Amino acid sequence: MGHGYLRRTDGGQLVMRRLLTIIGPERRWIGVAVAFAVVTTTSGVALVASAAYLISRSELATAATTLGVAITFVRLFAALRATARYGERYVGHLGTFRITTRIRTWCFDSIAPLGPAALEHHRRGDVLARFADDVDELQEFYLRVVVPPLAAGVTAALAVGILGRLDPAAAALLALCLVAAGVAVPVAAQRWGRAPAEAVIARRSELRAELAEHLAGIDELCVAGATAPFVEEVERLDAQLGTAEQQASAARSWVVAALGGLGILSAAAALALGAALVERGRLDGVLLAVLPLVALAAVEAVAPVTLAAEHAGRTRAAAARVFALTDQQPLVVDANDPMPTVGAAVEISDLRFTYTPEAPAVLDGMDLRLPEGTVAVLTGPSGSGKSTLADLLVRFRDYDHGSIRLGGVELHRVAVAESRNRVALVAQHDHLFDTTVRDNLLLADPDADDDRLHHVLDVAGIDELVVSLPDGLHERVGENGSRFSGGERQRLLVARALLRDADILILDEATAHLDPPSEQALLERVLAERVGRTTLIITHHRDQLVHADAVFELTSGRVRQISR
Amino acid sequence: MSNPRTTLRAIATVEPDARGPLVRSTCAEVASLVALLSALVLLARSIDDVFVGGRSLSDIGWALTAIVVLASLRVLAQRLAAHGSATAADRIRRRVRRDVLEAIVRPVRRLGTDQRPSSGELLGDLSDAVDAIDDYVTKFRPSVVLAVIGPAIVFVAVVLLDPISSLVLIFAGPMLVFLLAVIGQRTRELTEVRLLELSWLNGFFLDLLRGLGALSACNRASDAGGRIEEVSRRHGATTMEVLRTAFQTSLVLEWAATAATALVAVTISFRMIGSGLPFGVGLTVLVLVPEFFMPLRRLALEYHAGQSAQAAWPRLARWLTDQPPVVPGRPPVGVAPLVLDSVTVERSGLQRPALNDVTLRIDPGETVALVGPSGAGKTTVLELILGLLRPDSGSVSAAGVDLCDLDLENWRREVAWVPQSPTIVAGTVADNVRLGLPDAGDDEVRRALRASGAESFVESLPGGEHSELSEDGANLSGGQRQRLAIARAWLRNAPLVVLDEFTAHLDTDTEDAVITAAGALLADRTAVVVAHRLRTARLADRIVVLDGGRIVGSGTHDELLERCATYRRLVEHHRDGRLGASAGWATGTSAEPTAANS
Repeated sequence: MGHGYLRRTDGGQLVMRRLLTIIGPERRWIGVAVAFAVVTTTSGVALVASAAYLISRSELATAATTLGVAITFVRLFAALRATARYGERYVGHLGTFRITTRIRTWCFDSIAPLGPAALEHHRRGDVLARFADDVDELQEFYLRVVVPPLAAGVTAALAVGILGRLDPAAAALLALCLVAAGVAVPVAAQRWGRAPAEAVIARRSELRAELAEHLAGIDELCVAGATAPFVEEVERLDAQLGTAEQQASAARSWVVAALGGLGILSAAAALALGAALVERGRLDGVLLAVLPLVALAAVEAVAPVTLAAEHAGRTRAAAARVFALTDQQPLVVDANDPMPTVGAAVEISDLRFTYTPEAPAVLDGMDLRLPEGTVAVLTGPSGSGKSTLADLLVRFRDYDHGSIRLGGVELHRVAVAESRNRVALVAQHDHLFDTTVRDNLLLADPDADDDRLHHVLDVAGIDELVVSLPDGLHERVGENGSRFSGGERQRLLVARALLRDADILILDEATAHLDPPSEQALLERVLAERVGRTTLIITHHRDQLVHADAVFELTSGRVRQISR
Repeated sequence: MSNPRTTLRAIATVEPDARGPLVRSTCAEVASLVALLSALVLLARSIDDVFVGGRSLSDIGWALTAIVVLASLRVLAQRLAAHGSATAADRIRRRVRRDVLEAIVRPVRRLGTDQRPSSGELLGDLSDAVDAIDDYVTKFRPSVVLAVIGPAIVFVAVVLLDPISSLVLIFAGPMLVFLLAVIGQRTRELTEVRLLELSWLNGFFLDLLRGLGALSACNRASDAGGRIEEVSRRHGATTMEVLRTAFQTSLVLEWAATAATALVAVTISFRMIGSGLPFGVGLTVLVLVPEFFMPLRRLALEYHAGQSAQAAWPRLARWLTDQPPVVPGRPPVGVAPLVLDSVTVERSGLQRPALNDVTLRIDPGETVALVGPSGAGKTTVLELILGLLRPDSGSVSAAGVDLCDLDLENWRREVAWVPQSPTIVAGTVADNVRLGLPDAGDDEVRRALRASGAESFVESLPGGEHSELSEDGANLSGGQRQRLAIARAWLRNAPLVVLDEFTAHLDTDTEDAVITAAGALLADRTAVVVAHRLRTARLADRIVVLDGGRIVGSGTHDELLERCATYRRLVEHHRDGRLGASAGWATGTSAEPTAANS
């Protein structure tokens, strides 16, 4: 998956065009930022030029009055530069902000239709956080990668153009210096700096992985007295990181130093040329000081291009990873001619499912009949495919073979939205959003009033607690509900699922964090809340505490009934 | 947040070997600045020679050559400066990482008990915080050095050339101090606001991604994109208010730099006409003045690197300074009787102590099971025995010797511990078993695998005990992990065995096999077993019931059923709740919560 696309993204051009398309109208910020940056840099160069001209002019003048124009220019450019710089930073921030918002929205909108399964293999560890960071990295592209070369280009063209009106040879020399600083140095920085910079990142993450792996069990290692190899390995990796950093620093610092030296050299060359021109009478001596100082200032003005080139590499890599994810094919295709479902029976026959074509089948010829209103318990060893079945019923994934009939209709023929309205799920690792209790519940039914919210909380056995909180329903739940205990979280999740008021309810290890009496009480209340709901309780304990109509066991991809 | 200057000094002095490179780096920075200023002075002089003195190109040839040489010197000096700070950063980073790591793996981290950082925090300290030091040394420190030295050198040069122009800089001097203060406070404010805002929004985005399943299941995934837009806008409006004023810092800085240049140019021009100030002096001053402000701009650019290190340093320093001295302890004389005498352990964040006046005696060869509801203090008892914690009052002793007086490394050699979620490291099966006893031979490893019942599954792996396990043991089932952990404990062959609810995440059949393997391990050894599920307790000679940090009962299963209400309650839930089978709880199928341990 995504490999075909990766090949496409390697062409930098396409990535750039695509990144520009994503932000749509927010592209205007690029224009505004370029404009401010151009005003800042050109007025900086112009300030130096007019100041040098003013002093040279004063050498020849006899009265201050003749210098009025030059003095005005000096003041004008000084004020302009300071103001434009402020604007540049302000717009830069505002623009980044808007653009980032736009990228995130785009990214989420691209992933949402793919469903959670698209992120599945990104779940492990903090890879999802890495993805969020990648998306974040894209914001750098617009103002740090696109703007500096554009601004530098315009500034350089202006400087060369104006100088060209004084003397073509001087303009040509300036152009040469600017190409060296604005093109040759960035290209060289890319050529020699990229590999070492990437090596640093690779070494750092290697070291981090080693640390993460061992720190997770650090107490165990301490007790076993087995920390010495770990400490040695960290030292070895850190030394490797050091070598990589030294190389990267060498590449980077030669570039910075080269830019610094180039400014002085350009000024010296401009002075030599100017002196020769003055000697031959082709240049007014009063302009002599302008040439080297403009060369110095202009080379300084194009220096940010090098930094932009460094950013470009990182952004491109991040973009490739982001696009690989957003460009996935959806796992579930919505029915294009949906049929309405009748009743809440679930009938599964000869169902087969594999995660990838090569992997062994998780469900293999599975049959399960849940007539409307059945309360069933489904058990089985870890990894037997119980949660996969739940995923199939809420249409996070699609089955390869066999049949699932929901309310008498083959699931393929039911609209995805409809099947999710019919089936409410509390997933094994279900999520609470870092917002209020109320907002988390309203997700299930945006129109529910507070009475209804208190009702479902009461059924889930947590209303009393919520009411006792200082902010009640408006209390924040913390990151993934971290302000609540494991059992309280699960009660909130159950309450949210109840609010869906669906005909079919699936509880996937939804009460695992409760102690046995509370678990039983909760399940009894949930079942009593709406009689006649088809309920599937998934658990890896064979002895779920509930009076079920039937208990099934899922092993080796098949279901057998083990009681009642 | 600590004082920036103290932090800078602390980081620079943490590694004596970094002193040389740091001094070299500072000298090279100064040399590079002097080369630049000399080149600028020569440039202005040569312009003067041609424009006012009427010299020809060939007359200024030597000066041009000198400028080229100075430019080359500047390049070399900058490279040397970068090399010096990179070398220093490397030494400092490695030193800090090693010292922090060693502090973390010390037998006892600190005497206080409420500061046991999570592995996530430890990872943050050892990776992000240490890496922040790198940027600090290579970017921020040189900027600070230049910001102090640069303006001073330029000022002296201008005073020597044209005292009146230096008045502008004198006027800008207090402004400069003010600006430094402003950079210190306003920029911090700005960076914090900006970081807070961006990380908040990133967190919001991540939260939505993590909850995509919940959104999809509720048919709400398609509206969530709009939420990002809405929340960003609402959130952005307020922060922009703050930023609008915070950005004025940069306006002031830019204004000071450009206004000073303009002011110097205009006053010089007047004085050239009015009082005959020579052109050469005027031009030299003009080219030098911007360099007065340049280092400050650079400092503002690198401020972020300074910020991160400011935040990171205190986290590192606590490892480097707060450690109790390692007192050479006595070697243990035996593991039992193991006695907890009136032990109390406070935990920050908990209203009541984790353990409250607990007295418990475990005789040689005895197996004691600890049972009780979550948060009763079972795991705390284990942490005390393992020497990971020390009691706030009371004592823990082994064979009559207080654990505090023992050499902990020696003590732990007498202990084998099977934790709730054993660590699996990347490496072979044998490597993982050897974590128990690093220099064990192949035969011993094989014997341990056989004894723990792991042999059959290990043999089924393509490479037997030399099969590679992936990081985190992702290719092992829960039962297989636990059996490897038991093999590890076998290998240690220690007289005291500590089992933390090691079957918590297993299904019933696997649990039986693992309990059988553990039972063999416990025979003839002194053992403490924490049982989240009562069935694990069947391994024990005696069951101790904990509730709310106190011991509420102790005895055999039957005795406790008769005497201990908490125990009866625990057991009754299991009877009532069981579906099917008729055997007693001790052989059967309980469903104690597998959740959150203490």
